[in-house]
Amino acid sequence: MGDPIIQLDHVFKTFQTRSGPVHALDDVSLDFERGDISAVIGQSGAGKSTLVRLINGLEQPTSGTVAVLGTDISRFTERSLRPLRADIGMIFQQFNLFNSRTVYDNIAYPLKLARWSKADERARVTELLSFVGLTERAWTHPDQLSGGQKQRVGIARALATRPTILLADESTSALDPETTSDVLGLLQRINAELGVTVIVITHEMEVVRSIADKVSVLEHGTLIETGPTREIFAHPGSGTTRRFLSTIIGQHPGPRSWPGCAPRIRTPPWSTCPASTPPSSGWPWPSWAASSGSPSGSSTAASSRSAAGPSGNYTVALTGEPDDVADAARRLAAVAGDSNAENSNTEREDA
Amino acid sequence: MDWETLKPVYLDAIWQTLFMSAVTLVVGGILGLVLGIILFATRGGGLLANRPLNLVLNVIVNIVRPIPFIIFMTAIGPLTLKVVGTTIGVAAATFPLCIAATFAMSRIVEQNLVTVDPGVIEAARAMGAGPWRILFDVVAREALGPLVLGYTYVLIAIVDMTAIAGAIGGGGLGQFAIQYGYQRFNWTVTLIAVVTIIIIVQAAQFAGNALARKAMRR
Ligand SMILES: Nc1ncnc2c1ncn2[C@@H]1O[C@H](COP(=O)(O)OP(=O)(O)OP(=O)(O)O)[C@@H](O)[C@H]1O
Ligand SMILES: [Mg+2]
Repeated sequence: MGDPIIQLDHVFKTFQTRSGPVHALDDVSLDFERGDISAVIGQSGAGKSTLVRLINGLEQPTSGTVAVLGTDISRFTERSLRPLRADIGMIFQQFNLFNSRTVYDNIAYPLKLARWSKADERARVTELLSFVGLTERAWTHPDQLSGGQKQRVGIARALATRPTILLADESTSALDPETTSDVLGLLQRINAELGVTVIVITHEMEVVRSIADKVSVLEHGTLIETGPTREIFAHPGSGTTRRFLSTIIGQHPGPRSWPGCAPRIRTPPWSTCPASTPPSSGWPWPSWAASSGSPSGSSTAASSRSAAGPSGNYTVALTGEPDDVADAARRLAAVAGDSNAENSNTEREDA
Repeated sequence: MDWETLKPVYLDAIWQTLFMSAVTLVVGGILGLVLGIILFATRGGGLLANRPLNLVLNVIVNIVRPIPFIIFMTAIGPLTLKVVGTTIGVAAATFPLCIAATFAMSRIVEQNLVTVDPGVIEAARAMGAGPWRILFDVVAREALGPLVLGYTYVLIAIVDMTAIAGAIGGGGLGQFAIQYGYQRFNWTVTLIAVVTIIIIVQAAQFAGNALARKAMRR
């Protein structure tokens, strides 16, 4: 495979609690590729936070190895982990900002730890403030910021020492949908512009859909599925994955997981992009759409079978004369009407 | 005794009380901060978790702290004699004051530090900060507002303890009130001593509140 930057090999993590041992991670072997945005999804208590905390040594595995940037850190002492931690940024659900420090000083703190000179520090903090769009708020304290602004400070602070890896543990779970997409957009920019490998922990499929290249599904400490987001969406191998997918049925696919498809389409799960041939099984696809007449259709569609029969939805990009497009849209809506009219809303993009 | 003769004694007593309180606040405050931080850090799951040490320190603090100061002061008399050379006077009173204040302060420090959000500590760890750095730079700093209020509370307890120390020969306003007021049935002198102590306490509380407000920015 490619170029794994983090390798977990047969990792077990057991916590001893008063009510007996808790197996937070149970034989997890998983690689994260350099330059990817990888997501780890799972229900509460699945072991996601434990997994991500192994990567920067906040937890040590009970057995197995955790290799980060080529070094096995699973037996490192707290002291020997410190240089590595400067190379791994981390952001948190509750932001965990220093309330006693200004926004500026929060971002500068890791640089102080790394003994940057005052001049370098000022230049770096200024650069980061503008990157996250908080230049005006430099001298305010975190308790005067909105949730989204706080997380942007958290991101700037995590990026201060130019880390290679960014760990995001439920970094958007405390935010509203709009702020969530702002923050996710920022994570994408960090990945694309700065080349940072991003690992996102989440229990929201929406987060996976919008930014992840790869996704791994954890359940009760076990890795039940892992692979490229598109493949997992198309062929979910487990009930848990399908349940997660069902939480976002009816939404558009992310531009990232679906390159080259315009306009946005969507459905979990989907099978082709773009469909050169009409989707076959289970879809009432009108015959005229198959031929590339006028209007021409580029489509994506999904087919998945569950107990209730085929489910999912599809989005079609129609190009042609406005009247033809409108007519085609009407006819498609009529076909879709008997299943779920709601899903047949049309997005128009005049060519 | 007329006021002309008493006045220099009175002013001396004020100065002694302020001196004892200030020295105790600084010495007991610093030692108490360190002991409190160690109590906090050595707790199970703490930054420097060390169960045996934590247990020993807790037992010591729990033994010393509840002893009434007047008894504590006489009980450690032999130690005071060894360290200071005498058991009478301001210096001899300041020694037990510092010890008592250290133990009182350590608990208050510990109580305030446990309220600091563990997530903030985790964030600092994730950045690669060492445990001592986190304790002073992050934990103590995040708890600064409540800590200042804790110091104010202890300062007032210290002023109170200096008065007790004065009653058994420690000097200061306590001794002034007992010697020239109580023992000579001069109620005016007692009242003057009491009012002076009240003014000192009020000033301390006022300054402490102002500082805490500044630390907490509200
Ligand atoms: N320090 C700890 N001591 C004891 N048990 C722990 C500890 N940390 C985690 N656990 C247990 O390990 C399991 C996995 O926890 P973890 O925090 O990794 O789950 P998670 O997937 O992040 O859940 P959530 O979505 O709620 O954050 C849970 O059962 C949890 O109770
Ligand atoms: Mg978690």
